Amino acid sequence: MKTKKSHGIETIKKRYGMAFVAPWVFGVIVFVLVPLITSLVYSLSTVTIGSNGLETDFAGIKHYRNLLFSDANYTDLLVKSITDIFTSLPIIIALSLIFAIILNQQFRGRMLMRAVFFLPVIFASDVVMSVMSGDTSSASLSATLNDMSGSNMAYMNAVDFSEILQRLNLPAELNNLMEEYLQETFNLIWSCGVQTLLFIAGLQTISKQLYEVGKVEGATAWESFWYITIPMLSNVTMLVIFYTMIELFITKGELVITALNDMRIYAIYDTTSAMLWLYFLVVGIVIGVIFLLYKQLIQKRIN
Amino acid sequence: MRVKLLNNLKRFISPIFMIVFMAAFTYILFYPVLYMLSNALRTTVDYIDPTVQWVPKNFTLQNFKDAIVAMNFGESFLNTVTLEMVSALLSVFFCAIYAYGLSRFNFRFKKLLIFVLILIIMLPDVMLVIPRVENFQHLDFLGVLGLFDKLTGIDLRPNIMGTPLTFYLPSIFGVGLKGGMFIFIYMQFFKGLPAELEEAAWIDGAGPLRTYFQIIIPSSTTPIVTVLVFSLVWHWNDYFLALMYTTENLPLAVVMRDIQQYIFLSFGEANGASALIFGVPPAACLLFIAPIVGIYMFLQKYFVESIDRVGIVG
Repeated sequence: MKTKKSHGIETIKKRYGMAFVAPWVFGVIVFVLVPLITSLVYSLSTVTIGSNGLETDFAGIKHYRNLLFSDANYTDLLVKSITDIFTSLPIIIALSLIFAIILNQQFRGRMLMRAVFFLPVIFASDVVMSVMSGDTSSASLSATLNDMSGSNMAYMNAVDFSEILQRLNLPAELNNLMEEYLQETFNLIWSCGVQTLLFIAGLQTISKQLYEVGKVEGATAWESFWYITIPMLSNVTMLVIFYTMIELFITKGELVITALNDMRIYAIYDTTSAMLWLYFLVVGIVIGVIFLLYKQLIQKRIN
Repeated sequence: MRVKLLNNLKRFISPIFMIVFMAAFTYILFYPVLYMLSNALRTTVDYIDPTVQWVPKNFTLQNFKDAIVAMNFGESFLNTVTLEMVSALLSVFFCAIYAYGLSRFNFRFKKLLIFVLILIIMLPDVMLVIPRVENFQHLDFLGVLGLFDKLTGIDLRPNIMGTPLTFYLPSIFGVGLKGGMFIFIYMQFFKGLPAELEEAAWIDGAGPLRTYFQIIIPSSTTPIVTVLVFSLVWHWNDYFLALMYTTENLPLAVVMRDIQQYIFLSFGEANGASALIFGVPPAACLLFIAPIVGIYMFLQKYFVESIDRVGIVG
């Protein structure tokens, strides 16, 4: 009797759950899935602008073949987009973890400092960035990003590393490399806002008792960081890696912006769709592989 | 003795380290703002004057006045509020409902839906926007109205391009700007709520909607504030979707992005518009971020507190 009743509630709950989710599923189908299929169709056809909007003419995998084998630019851009992430990602993760640990400590003015700290969440938008880098006229963000890594970014150059480095009298090659890396690190501070926030949230969930136990057992600060903080943060770290990759690949990806400009300015829809589909597939595979590696290598080892 | 010395040293050094760190950090973060401010307050003469480094010799607010004219500030601001801010709030409200359904109930295909959610988070908006615009020009849901048109010749498909609906509809269905991310953040929090919370309400005979609005929502201020801040900020800064969806009622972010063009449009080359590109863009940028910084300052107290409690962590 009792089990039957609870089973009834379960069924009702199931229905309610579906009712809660149903509008979203509808939205996903109408505003995501259908456009996605349309975009796939575009990428497989020749799109012309006719009197009745866009007209498609099936062309097979022509665009994909062109992109991969005839277009030298595309493959370069694709490879660059993928490899760039391996320099930015570790820097962002390390910096935001350091910031989070410092901001998570008890000190006077902590609230104020955190308020200041999250300003990059506001500033680090393309629009503000493009003005700050003195590049207001450019239609593309990619130009801005190029400026950022160069030295003509007047607004962001709070510290001029080149001068300091020159005084060190290092060999020119090493000097350039160091300057580039330092400047890069410096600029990446602006993309650490959300990540720091996620890390702080993660740090808050670690119970203080763990640290106390560690202290009793005679662990040094370094050991407790390495054996308590890092393993307990493994879930958040994965979330941060995921978020950062999306941010770097999708929101700020050079290829996405190129495609956007081609669409907007030149009204090319077929090739750009193919570009984006290939990019999405490659990025999806990269993210998937990093996820799996993380799970297999790091999380298992920690546990 | 040595331990004591070391402890004293530690007590002494760590505040110094903190202060240095904080100062350095504040400097880095405020540098662009100060730089913009310094540039925005200058007259044209001061740009050429090499002795003027930070503090302008001739203070002027003219740049701000010019920026307001060039940006058509009043109207653009209103557009941002009616288009972007409203859809930001719609996202905050509706994404919570979907996240609740996805995280607190068990049903078939739930795993699949969560997988789809992750895919949506990974999907660039650029891929969807052109087909979406096509769809908005003759709004149709799954081809039903199109079929009706083919059968009877009566075209019921409305053209909603240029209306605020292009912004509102995706937000209402939880697939607006960064909608997937918001659902994800909410879900992580809802997962951590104790099951007793709902059971008690169920036993007392409250329906699911009532449970949701009277029990779940009041105990979820933390993720709501988090999502609210992100949603407002991201929508405020959004120029891409606005650029695609409207050509007339441009929000601030779109104007801000092409500020140079607007300066030339409103002042003209002959009237020395080229001299304005030094001072007006920084002034415009400060005007652009001022409201959102204001909102952030207002919300940040709850925001920072909420980070302490929000369990964005799985």
